[in-house]
Formats: sequence, structure tokens, C-alpha cells
Amino acid sequence: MKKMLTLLLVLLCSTVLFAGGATESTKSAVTGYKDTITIGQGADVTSFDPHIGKETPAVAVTNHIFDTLVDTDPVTGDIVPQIAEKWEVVSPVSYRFFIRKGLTFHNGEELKADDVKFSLDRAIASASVSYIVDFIKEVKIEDDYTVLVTTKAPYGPTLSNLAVPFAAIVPKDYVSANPDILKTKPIGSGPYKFVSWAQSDNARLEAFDAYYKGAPQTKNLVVKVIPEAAQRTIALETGELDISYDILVSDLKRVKENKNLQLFEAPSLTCFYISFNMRKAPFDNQKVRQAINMAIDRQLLVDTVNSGTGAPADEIIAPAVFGYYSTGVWEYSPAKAKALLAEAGYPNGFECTLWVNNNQTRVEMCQAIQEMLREIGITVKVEVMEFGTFISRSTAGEHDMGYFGWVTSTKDADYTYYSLEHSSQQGAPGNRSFIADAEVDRLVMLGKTSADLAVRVQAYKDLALTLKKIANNAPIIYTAITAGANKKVEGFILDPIGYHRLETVKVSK
Amino acid sequence: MGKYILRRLVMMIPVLFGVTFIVFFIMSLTPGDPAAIILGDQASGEALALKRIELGLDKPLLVRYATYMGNLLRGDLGLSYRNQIPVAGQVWDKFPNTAMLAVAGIIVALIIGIPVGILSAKKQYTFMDNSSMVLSLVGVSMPNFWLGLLLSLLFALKLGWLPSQGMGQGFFPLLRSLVLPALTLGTGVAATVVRMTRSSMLEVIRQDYIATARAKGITEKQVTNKHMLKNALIPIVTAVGLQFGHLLGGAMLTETIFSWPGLGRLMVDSITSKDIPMVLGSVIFMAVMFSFVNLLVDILYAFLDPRIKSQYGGPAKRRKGVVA
Repeated sequence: MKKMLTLLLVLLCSTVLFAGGATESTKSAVTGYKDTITIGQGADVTSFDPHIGKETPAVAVTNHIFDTLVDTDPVTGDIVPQIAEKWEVVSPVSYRFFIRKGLTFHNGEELKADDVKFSLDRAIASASVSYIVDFIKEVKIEDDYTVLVTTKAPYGPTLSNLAVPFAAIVPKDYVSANPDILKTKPIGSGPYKFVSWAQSDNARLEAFDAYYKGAPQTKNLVVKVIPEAAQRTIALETGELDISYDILVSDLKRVKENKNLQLFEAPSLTCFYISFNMRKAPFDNQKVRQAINMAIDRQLLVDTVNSGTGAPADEIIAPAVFGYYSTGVWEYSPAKAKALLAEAGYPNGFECTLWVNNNQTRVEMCQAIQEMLREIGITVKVEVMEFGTFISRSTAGEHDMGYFGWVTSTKDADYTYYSLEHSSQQGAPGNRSFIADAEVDRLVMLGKTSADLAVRVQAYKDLALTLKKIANNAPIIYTAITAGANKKVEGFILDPIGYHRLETVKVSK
Repeated sequence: MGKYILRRLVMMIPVLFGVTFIVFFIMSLTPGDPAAIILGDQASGEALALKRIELGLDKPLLVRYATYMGNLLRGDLGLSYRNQIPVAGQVWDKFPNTAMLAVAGIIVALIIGIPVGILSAKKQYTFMDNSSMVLSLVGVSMPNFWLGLLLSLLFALKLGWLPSQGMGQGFFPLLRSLVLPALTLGTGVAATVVRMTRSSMLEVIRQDYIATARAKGITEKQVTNKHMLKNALIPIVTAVGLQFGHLLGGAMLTETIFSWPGLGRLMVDSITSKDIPMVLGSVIFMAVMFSFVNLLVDILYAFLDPRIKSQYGGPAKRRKGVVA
């Protein structure tokens, strides 16, 4: 009896150990490509409703379920047609969009102008995403396949904002019947249909064969949630994942050196910067702000704190953003910085605080900057606080210097410049340096309101140069966006914002 | 016995009130605005204000607590701040996964812990005893996240025997995916069980009735299993019960490392996003589970030790006997 039990146990153990291998081998079938792509990301989808779930892990999934009127090409950054096959600028405040005929949602209903109006109105009313579309005054249905979008004022980045996934088009009838339905049972018109969601575990999508561009390359998409970054790399190495997003900095070398893996790396749309509170002395002094800018060795920060990933920043918008103009990274020169401080009337430096929220890498960055500023005689006290407190107290202007991060999620300079540099946006909207400069305001508004690309480019160039002189912020680094993939993965394009599209991806067996 | 169970169940009510009160006020009074956390640093002041109203955060704290408790009494745990989905459903969905992991972890702990503990006690101060004590000390001290990663590296990456993370679909894939988290979780508990079994057995070994049992000529195996172990079980059951109660509340680290979709991870995610209804819902659920497991352990005592059983129902019967 005992021997039988032992034998049974051994059999069970070996079945458990080797059962997976068997299923793996039966997976390989007729074609040369796998029918499922398995992706790993660090966090779960917060909401499948595109007008609520705006965090990158949510959009990375919902981006495949929903389409927008127009799209941004991940490589060129150009605005390209999506639901709207074409558009015309009727006046500086109105855009006419022509919807593709025959487009259907995943439930088979045809996508028409009333769905577009319903969706944009719904996005405007959403507390989570309204900031992307609240420039819209009215969406008017001209006929079943034409809508006229009127803006409150001339707004240059209209198309860029309508390309942001938060401006997704959802089926009116389906959502009207149950306004909460998209949170868990999303239906859109994107390349993949929703299949299932096991919260904290995975989301499964299936190719939408009737997609207007043709069915995606791979039939099934499984997005697994693996919060532990080291485990994501292990899963990539073992082949459990085909693609893993956000590779841990300490794992980059391991992925690069593994002959079965490939590493995708690009500067993201995120810039980390220090805002000087210009309402407070000594930060109301331009020379002090310039001196601090010159005392920071950005390359060293990239090489050490960031383990060589990312790039030194010269602007608060990243190079992949429309309107970026390189003014050149601030020269690192403690001697010149000291001279500037002396000219400003602080030959022996001064004491001040640098606020940061409780994020390990951000805190380390501030500690390194603290040491750099000590060299020019500025004694900085780094104060670490919880995110909500950090935001509310810096909004009230209580800080001396604050270390912030900002993502230009529309890929258009206006999004960042208006929020961070315009005098009307002081405090909560983002301007925490409390800059109020007439010339800066003029250039920001010129870029914002002009529909002429050349005028906008020139405005942002002038603005970048003006801001460099004023030095109300000290841009520190652009972070990198990374993804690791199996060598068998083909057609993957890294999107600097993190919403990588996978309909063109296939994985050879 | 029935009255005792009923009394214990009634006693859970003030415990739950206490738990909700403490957690609600700690979560609400700690710095941080849930609206700012949900909407991020790019949200406008207007959007933040709207979100606060939507979440009911514009009302005074006591009003919010009273509303919450009113809803709770009707069995409504509210909506999650983060995803606006009912809390109860989410907690209930995660519970089977956590329970599965907790049971597997306890099985691992018992399989390792009890035999090693017995052997250690019976061979006190030998090499075997000393090494098992050192190993159990290592087991208790080893952080789960580190052990989990090591096990993953060995069994998933180097040997390729088991999946490194996730919860498998289907019986065998599920069993395979359960092995590493259960080992990680079970090792720490096993170490506690080894030490508890050893010390408890050592107390029993020196009792006169063990000498008597041996003198009767019964086999050593019978002496160990029937006379020593059964009498040594009470403290072991207490320790295992407490550990099991903890594990049912979700093993946060193990679940995070192995991407196991359980209560522990739900809790971590909710705390970091200051999702007060979700944290409260999870904590209430954990408190109920913990109280139930404790109650079960107490009931189990009665079966293990007839003297305890007599405390519940015995005296009344005896009195009856006297009257008769």
C-alpha cells in the first residue's frame, strides 16, 4: 500500500513537472508563426473604459480595442487617418472629419457620426481625460459620415489631441444602455476584440477580422500582469513571454547579452525637471537659477543614478515631441556657476529645500543633485513627501525647488508649454515655477492657436530659447522607454509614449 | 458547544467595527488626496474637484464613515476608487486564488515541518537536530521575495521545469504554477512549524505516560504517533492556525513576486493608489477570515483534547448525572 502511494506521488510529481512541456509542443501547428503573442507588463488595466483608464498599462491594452478619429504614426510622429479617412480645416476654429464608410464595432454595429459625437462629448465630461479634449466647443453631426468639430478658440494641436487614445470612439447604443459596461466589457472598433479579463492576472484579446486595415498579424493577444520587474525578465528568458515592457535598468545588460533576446530602447516622452519657485527669494533671481542649472552634471546623473539609460535634458519637452527645439544641454561648470552666484549676491551660497515625492529613483536623483549643489555652496535639504501632499503643497507654492516629472502625452509641445509655462496655469494645472512672462505667454499662445505648422515650429523655437534664458526650470533627464523581446518577434515598433501597437507583430515558431 | 460558537460569532461584530474604524481613519488621515493619485499630476484643479465630489471626499470625515458603515450593514462594500467596480466582487474573485495558495503553502509547511520537528525532538542535540534547527532559523529569516526569485531562477530559468510566474489555466498547468509560490510561502511557515513541533514534542517526551506507554511494550512508532504527537499537537495547531489565518489574508510578497492574482496583491495595489473602499473591503474580509480560522482552531482543540471538550459541554452533563 505504501509503495503504491509512493509510486502515485512520483507519477503525479513528474506529470506536474512535464505536463507543460507537452502542451507547449502541441502548440506548434501548421503555419510558421505562433497564433498568440504573450506580453508582460508591470501593472494591471485600471479600467477598460478609454475615457477613464488613462494609465499607460491600461492604454497599452485598450489602445488595441478602440480607435480614434486620427492616429499618430509611431515612427514619423505624423498625424494619419484612422476612423476619419480624411479631414479639412474649415476655419481656425472648425475641423470637418469624414468617417470611413462601412466601419463596424466589434458587435457588428456600424460606426457613424453619432457615435463620434457621443464619444467626444463623453470624453469631455470625464474628469479623468477631459483635459485632452476640453478645447472642443461643439461636435456637430452633418450627416451619418461627417462631423464638424468646433473649438472654443483657434487651437493648433487639435489633431494631435484627437489622436490621443483618451479621445477613443465608443459605440453609442451599447454604452447608452449601460454607461458602466465599458469598464469590464469593452467594445470598440480597433484591431483586437476583448475576450476576457482576469483582474491582476491577464487580459485576453482576439483579432478583429473585419478591421478596416485587415486582420492583425497574430490571432490572440495575451497581456500578463507581472508586477515584479525581475520576474518579467526571467519570464522573457524562459520564453513564457514574447515581449516584456519596462525592463529593469539592472536587467538591461542581461537582455542585451542574451542571444535569444532583443532589446528595444528609445527616449520616452517624459522629462524630469526641477521647478524653481520664482515667487520666492533667491529663486526670483535669474542668475541664481542659471547658476543651479550650470552646477548640475546631467550626464553623470544619467550614467550613475539612471545606470546609463535615458539622456540629459535640454528642454522640458522630449525630442520626440512636435515643437521640440534643441537649445543644447546646459554646460556643466561649477566655476561659472559660482561666479554667477557671486554676481547674484550670494558668494557664499544659501540654504534651501528641494521637494520630491517618495519614489526611490527620484529621491536618489535629488540626493545626487544635492551633492552637486553643495560644491557651489548651496546647502540643499531634500524633503521627501507622499505624492498627494507633494502635489497639493507645491500647487500652493510652498516649495523652494521641486523635482517633477511630466509626460507630453499628446506628443505636441502645446500640451506641456501651456500647462507649465503660461501665466494662467500657475499652481494646480502645472506651472509650479510660477512664471508670468509676457513674451513667454505670447509665444505659448501663438503655438497654441496657429494652425500653420511653420508658424508653430518657429514659435516653439523662440520659446525654447527664451525659456533657456529665463531658466525657470532646470530640465534634468529624459527617461528611456524599454522593451525586451524574443528574437523571434517581428514587426514590433517601440512607441515613445508606451502605447505600443501590436497588430503588426508576429512571432515565428 | 453551539452556544460557544454563537458567542464567538457575536464577538466578531465589535472586532469588525473596530477594524473598520481604525482602517478608515488611518487611510483617511494619512496625507494624500485619492483624487490626485487617480488623476495624476497632469489633472486640472477643476477635474480634481469634480473627482473629489464623485468620490464623496468633499463631505466631512464622520459623515463619510457613517455612510460607509450604513452601506456595509446592508452588505454594500462600495465601489473601488480606482476602477469604479464593486469592491465585494473583486475581493470575492481573488479569495479562491489566495485560499488555494494558502492551503498549498500550509501543506508544504506541514509536510516539511512536522516530520522534521518530530525527528529533531527525538534525536535532541544530535547533528540532525542541530542542522534542522539552523536550517529552520535560515527558513524563518529568509525574505520571501529573495527566496522566490532564487527558486524562479533555478526551477524556471536554469532547469526549465516550472513556470516562473502566473497562474496556470487547467488542472496540471495550475498545479505546476502553484509549486514555486507554495514552496516560497511554505518554507517560512515550515520553519515555524519545525520549531514549534520540536519544543512541544520535547515537553511531551518527558512525561510519565510516555514511559508508561513504552513500558507496556507498544512499538516506538505507536508511542510517537499516538501518545507523543497527539498530545503535542495543541500548540502546533495554534501556530499553524494563526499562520493559515495570515495566509488567507493574502501573502503580499509571494503573490507579487509570482504574479499570483490574490488578495495580497489586490491589497498592495489598493494601498498604493489610496483606494480606501478597496483597502477597507479587503481588511474586513481578512478580519472575518482570520476570526473564522481562529474559531475553527478552537473547535479543533476540543477534538484533539477531550479535557477542552468537557469545558464546553462536559460540566452540564456531569451535573445532570449527579441529579440522576
